[in-house]
Amino acid sequence: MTSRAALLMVIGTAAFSPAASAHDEADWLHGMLDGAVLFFTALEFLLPVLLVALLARRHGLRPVIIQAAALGIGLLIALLSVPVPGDPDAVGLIARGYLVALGLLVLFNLRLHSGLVLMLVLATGMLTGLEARNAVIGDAGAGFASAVGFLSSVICFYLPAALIASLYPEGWQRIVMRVVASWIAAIAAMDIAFMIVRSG
Amino acid sequence: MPSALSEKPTQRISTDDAKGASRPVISVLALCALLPGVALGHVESGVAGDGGFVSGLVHPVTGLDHVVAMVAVGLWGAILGAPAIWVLPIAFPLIMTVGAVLGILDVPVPAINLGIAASAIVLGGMVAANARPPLAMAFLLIAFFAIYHGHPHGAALPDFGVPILYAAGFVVATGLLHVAGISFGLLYRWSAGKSAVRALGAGIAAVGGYFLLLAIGRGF
Repeated sequence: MTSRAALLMVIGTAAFSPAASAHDEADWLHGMLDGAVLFFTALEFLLPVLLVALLARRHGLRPVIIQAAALGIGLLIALLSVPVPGDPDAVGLIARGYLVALGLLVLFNLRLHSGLVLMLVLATGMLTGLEARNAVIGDAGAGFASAVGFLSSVICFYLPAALIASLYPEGWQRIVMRVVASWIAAIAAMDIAFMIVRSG
Repeated sequence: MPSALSEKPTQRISTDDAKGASRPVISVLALCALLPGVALGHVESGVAGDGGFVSGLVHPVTGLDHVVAMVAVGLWGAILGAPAIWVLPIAFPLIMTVGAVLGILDVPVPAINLGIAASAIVLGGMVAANARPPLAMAFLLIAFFAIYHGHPHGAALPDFGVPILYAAGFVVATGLLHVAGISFGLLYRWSAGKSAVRALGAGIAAVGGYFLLLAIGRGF
């Protein structure tokens, strides 16, 4: 490689970042990518979906697919509905309290009926959607695209996580899941305290 | 008979080749030089040490008194075996969070430094003495000390950053310290390892004794 080629590479790379920023904010694909990435970069959205996936226990492929559909429906209803009046922090507090409850459900290894799991999955979708609504549908131009991207990430994350969880209803793998659930419950409890302090 | 390894032809690099090879290296270094600027652009994300994940991750490992006690929990769990090996590392972070919440909400807990030092002495002593109390008793002991360990972390939390990431870092670091203790504690299955684990427990108790003297010297 000549030094000229190396120099061109450096200049080309330096120019790459502004080129990425030059995309139109209303670009559909850009909005979809924003929504998709948002789910993986915000623990408050990712952790409830992970926990509710860990509730799956030997229910098989079909119930997991039905649960994924329920999660998606709950999420879309919340994302595309009218904003909830009142303090947005209240939604966060409820979501975090729900996260603690989900964590304890997984931790105590309760054998829940698949119908109840379905209800919890639907509730998780709705709560996550309500909390993510401002971040996902913030830009009116790319709002729907963002919602589609966000939904895709949620489903792509939930399906394998729930299938893996359903493969291991017992054994050390389940113990690892229970430990992770206890840690997530602890994180959510701390976040509740942070929220209370910040709100004064 | 020469080995296949010795028959492998030695590759000679000429001076010109070396010059040629250095160019890609320079190019890579030049590209790397551009990266720190990109990283600085993510300060707002809360992943960096600005009250985000890294801040939470670092917080539990900054005090030796905390670290040794958390490692002792893992060691003791490994000695006690199932189910304590996983119940204790679940209980400690969970109850520690309760202590942290008390700290965040400014609820006072008496003689914090004394309690933390005592935890290292007692838990290290349990490991050194190969104490095997019932699980419920071990749980209660762990839970009691976990409050003391959580409180100062909650009270000293940064005022900025992303709270949930800070909490995640804090809990993960605590859990990983337990895992480190459990990993070392698994040596207990071998006779030589048994001595090493018990010696480590005695060392932890000694560190606790040092911090106890410090706490008494400072008036708790």
